[in-house]
Amino acid sequence: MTPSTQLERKTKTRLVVAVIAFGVVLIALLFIFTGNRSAGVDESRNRGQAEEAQVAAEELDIKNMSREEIEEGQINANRAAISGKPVSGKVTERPDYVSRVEWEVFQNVVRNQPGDDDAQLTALVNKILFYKKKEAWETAGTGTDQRARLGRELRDMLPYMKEGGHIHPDEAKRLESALYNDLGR
Amino acid sequence: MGKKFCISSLASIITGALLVASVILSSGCDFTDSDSSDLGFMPAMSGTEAGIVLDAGDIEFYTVPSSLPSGDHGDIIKYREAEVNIPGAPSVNAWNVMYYSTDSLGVPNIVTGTVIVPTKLWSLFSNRPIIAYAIGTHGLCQTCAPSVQMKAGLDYESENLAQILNQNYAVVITDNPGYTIDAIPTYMSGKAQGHSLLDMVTAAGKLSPANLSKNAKVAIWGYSQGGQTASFAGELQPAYAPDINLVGVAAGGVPADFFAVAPYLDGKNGSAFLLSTVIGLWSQYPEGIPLPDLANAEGMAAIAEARTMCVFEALFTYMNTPLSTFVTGNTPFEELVAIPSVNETLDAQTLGRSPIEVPVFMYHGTSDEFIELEQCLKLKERYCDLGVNTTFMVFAGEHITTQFQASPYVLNWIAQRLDGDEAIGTCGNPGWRPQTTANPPEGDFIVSLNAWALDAVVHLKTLMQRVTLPSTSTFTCDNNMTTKKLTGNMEVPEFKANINVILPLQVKMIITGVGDSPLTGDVNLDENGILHVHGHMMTDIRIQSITMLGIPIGTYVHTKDPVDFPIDFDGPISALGSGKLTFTGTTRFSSMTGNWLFNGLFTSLMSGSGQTFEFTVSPPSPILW
Repeated sequence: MTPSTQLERKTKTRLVVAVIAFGVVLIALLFIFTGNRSAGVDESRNRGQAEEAQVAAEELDIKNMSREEIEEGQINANRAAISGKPVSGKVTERPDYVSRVEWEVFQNVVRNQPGDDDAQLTALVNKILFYKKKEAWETAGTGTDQRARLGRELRDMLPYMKEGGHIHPDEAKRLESALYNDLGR
Repeated sequence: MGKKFCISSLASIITGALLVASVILSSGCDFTDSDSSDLGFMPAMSGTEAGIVLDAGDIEFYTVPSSLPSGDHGDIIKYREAEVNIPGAPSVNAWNVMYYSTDSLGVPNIVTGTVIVPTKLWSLFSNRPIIAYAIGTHGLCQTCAPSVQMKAGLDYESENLAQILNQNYAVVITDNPGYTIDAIPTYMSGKAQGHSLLDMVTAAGKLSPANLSKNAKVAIWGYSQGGQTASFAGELQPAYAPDINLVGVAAGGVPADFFAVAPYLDGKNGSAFLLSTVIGLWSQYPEGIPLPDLANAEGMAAIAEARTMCVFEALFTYMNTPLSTFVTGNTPFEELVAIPSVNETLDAQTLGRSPIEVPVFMYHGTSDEFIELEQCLKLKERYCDLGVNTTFMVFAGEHITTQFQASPYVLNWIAQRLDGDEAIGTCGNPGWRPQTTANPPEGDFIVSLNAWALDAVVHLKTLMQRVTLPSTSTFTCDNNMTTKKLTGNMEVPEFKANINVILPLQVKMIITGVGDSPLTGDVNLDENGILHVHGHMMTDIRIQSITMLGIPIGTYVHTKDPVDFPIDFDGPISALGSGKLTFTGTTRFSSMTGNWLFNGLFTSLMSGSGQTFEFTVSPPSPILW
């Protein structure tokens, strides 16, 4: 091999490497700049998790749920909340007062949060139970046993909700007052 | 260069002026501590009316030496290294300078000022440009002088100065005539101010440690009083300081015609500026404005008091007070103007009778409540008629905000002049004329922000997601500086938000204010020009439609109780116009209601404490006229 051929090959190799490097940079730039930067949720941080979420949804086959199935699931879960009990410790399976859609949402939310996933899932489950019970209490007939029972359960859960910052202070005050009127001391 | 003058003539001028002052004024500006009150015939000082106490070194510096060297205007009498505190500025070296200048009557006077030079190297191949910055109204007390205010870190024009310095330009700032110890500012005396600015540039070129070239390109920039100074300096420069390499003059909010400006101030929000003008013009033209003959007892007291105040304190103290209050027989302003010497004195402050030989950039806020818009438009037309290459920019702002709204545009225009680009100008008939949109100049002093751009982000804690409001969102408020009450609203168009984290879920969100005035609170502009805003923006957050997995699943949910966004700001008034008016905080969302099926889910995800937000309010874009 003559020195000139060697030089030619080296030059070609450098050219190929340069082209590949340029291509990589170009792809990276395209990847960076094609993100949606319009108004709305800034999902750049969460794009990976969003894709994971989609995969998880597919795994659970809820993607194929019809509107009627979604709504029926919500109705059943909301009704189940009337007699549902708060959870403590790690929640390993979906309580019946949490719909499949809600469960999937919660799973993905805690996956996206830093810190203790189990504790966060527990908090979300108890929070949704509280608010479902509260809605049921608000719509229950005045003076009914169901309203009284729900009222007592809400009163028991209220300190937990307040301590965790899960309820607006004004809303908590109003609820306390209403529960007092309903239940007395 | 100008005429030479000797120590004795100068001393007699100063002595004469001070004697008049001592007769007429019952008290003086307090700029010293209680131990240094014995300043000749001036009354004893007490307290710190203008908020700043000069130390011994300052008193020595601002005192005109008893023995003066002879010199020309622009020659340095003395200088010292200066301390300047300009938030946001780069590292700088600074010097206070005392130099010779010339008053409006052609008589030599002595002025102080500051030269500030960034420590960053400029270029080996060109001279560092100099911006001659003409300050707006600062107040009649000696401690209101910009050199004093900058040392204290209180100068309300710091934002503009920081922007200049961040361009790596040098900036020179005259204190204006009358801020040496025991002197009386010749406020709004146009020629004196113009001379002092031009001489400040000349003095800076002679200040060895500043290392500025006498051939450096110079641009002049000023707003309000500074707009008057800048314009006069531009008109005077060809004859008075032809050696200055002037490339452009930027002048905003210019009081160009006192016969139009004064009625707009008299008895209105800007009354303090008129009172100060009377004092300043008397100081320069004691025969033209015969104050001892005109002022009643209340006037005497007001004159003495006004001299102890800086601009914001004076603004509120004399707001809506007619000048006739201070005049013997309560003579109305129109009769005072009819006095020949008064008329002649005011007329001498009229701009636009001489051309400016370099391009001029003028600007004004259509909501200006202090300096009438129309007389400034006429100045542009006079300059155009004189062949001056004039550009006029109109801002949707009131007087104070416009000063800082305009800064980036002014600096951009100046940069083009320094680069040698040709100025296109906006002379000629544009087919329309800017109209005032100012709040009534009398009554309460209200600073309005009408549909200013709102750049807002809310961080949803549980979802760990940032919701960015649409770029077309707006913020409107009235800052009633008289009642100190804040009212307003924000308009956020309906927008789509992809909450991808929880499923392929798309929601349309609407954020609306609650009630007639969702924004309420307190607002206060303190004596140092610091704006204090503390209020609450009450809003409903609605999720207008929900599409889950591509399936529309419901009508909407919304917050059960209004969301309270605390609106808190404590910072310089310049933030109102500079796009740095930012409210950050934490709020709580109540439970969500409106859709029995999904209330629980959205409440779990969105309600509770720890929701953070950041709202930034910035002004609308200007237009050329």
